[in-house]
Amino acid sequence: MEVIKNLPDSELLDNIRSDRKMDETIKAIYRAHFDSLCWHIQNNNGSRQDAEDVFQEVVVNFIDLVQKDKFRGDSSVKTFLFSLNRFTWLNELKRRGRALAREEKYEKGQERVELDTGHFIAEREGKAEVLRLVGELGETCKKILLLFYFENLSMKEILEVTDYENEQVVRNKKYKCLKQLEQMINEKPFLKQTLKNLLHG
Amino acid sequence: MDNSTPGLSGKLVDFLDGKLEPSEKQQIEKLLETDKELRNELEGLEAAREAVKQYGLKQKVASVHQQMMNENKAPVRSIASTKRKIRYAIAVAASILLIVAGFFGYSFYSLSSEKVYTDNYRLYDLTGVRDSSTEESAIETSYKAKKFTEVLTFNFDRPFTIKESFLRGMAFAETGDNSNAILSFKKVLEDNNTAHSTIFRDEAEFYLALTYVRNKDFDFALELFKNIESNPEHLYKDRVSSKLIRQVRMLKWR
Repeated sequence: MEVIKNLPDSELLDNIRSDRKMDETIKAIYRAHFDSLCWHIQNNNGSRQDAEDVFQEVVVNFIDLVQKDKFRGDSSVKTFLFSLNRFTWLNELKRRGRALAREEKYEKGQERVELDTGHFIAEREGKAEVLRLVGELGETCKKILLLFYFENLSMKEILEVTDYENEQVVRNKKYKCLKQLEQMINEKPFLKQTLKNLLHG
Repeated sequence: MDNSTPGLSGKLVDFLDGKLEPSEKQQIEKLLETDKELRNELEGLEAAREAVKQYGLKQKVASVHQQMMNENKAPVRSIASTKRKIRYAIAVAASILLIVAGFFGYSFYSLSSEKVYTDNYRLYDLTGVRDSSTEESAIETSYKAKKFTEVLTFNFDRPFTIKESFLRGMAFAETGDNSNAILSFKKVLEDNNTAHSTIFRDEAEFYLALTYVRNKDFDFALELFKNIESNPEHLYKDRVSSKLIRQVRMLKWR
């Protein structure tokens, strides 16, 4: 049976920064923070499903921010996650409100208020669009690119978990897949900008 | 190096992957300085790699999420038949529990964030001077005269001192402006962190926690109160009772 363990902030952050024991680390985040953040959403007009979706998004963003050294531990992980959770949910509520506003033809003044946080909304929506776009890649391409760029496997290791003849064939396939994704992104300049912001923003 | 992929483009991918020999890496870096198209291509490749990483992370979290949701589902256990005596005992215990729950239920529903705030809030009495300033500032004078609206009208061509930020926080709290009170108290904490000082730090923590209560940010309030309670050196340790923490917890779960 798996040992249930809560990690102190320092260990949790070290694991994320060094990209090791990620499953255990994500589980620790869930055990320590899911219930309270879930409650916050459900207590603010959200459903259980909303809470689960937002929490997943928060965890993804949190890990991404830590790995890009944008979270430096100025506050506790708990406080930071709480704030991310609230911001994401507010953002989602505003997004839904905006859709509703369009449907119900709200007055223009309403639109102006929402523009104040427009760039945050664009970032979230852009990110969701990026994920959809990668999802549109063929399964083989997704697998090779994920193994190489996310799991950090070598060509040799990828060869062992795929059916290709040799490393060179894997390398060629990976090249073609990456170029294909690059083309797909280039066709949507706002996505490229979103990704640039994620990288350097 | 891989020469099966189309020329420069292939090299650029190897450059992105950090697979080039130092001399080839230098060549590409030199080209990138002058070739805008090549720079654009590299940016596109970096964007594609980032998209893959984002997708991978999302997948990983989704997979753990599923595991955790399954883990959280409590197993359903069949309950063995119970003897009559045990049923009576349970009935009695349930009755007692009901009475106790009724009492706590009443406390639970009669509680409000405003009530907890007012029960614990006392205007900060500005008698002791803890920072190094020698002259009394205009903000301090107005605060002492309890002219809180006036306190908030002052703007100087210098940043507010830590003490002034604290007094502004108190003035915002007095005028019911929770958001700005929170910002001001946070500024006190941030400025102290930057300066490695403790001027009005304990005071700001306590009043920030109270303002969080009034603003219904119970998680933040609880965290601060717990920190204060567990710190024997904290000036406001005695003001943070177990009852106060329990009340904030109750407010949180309402």
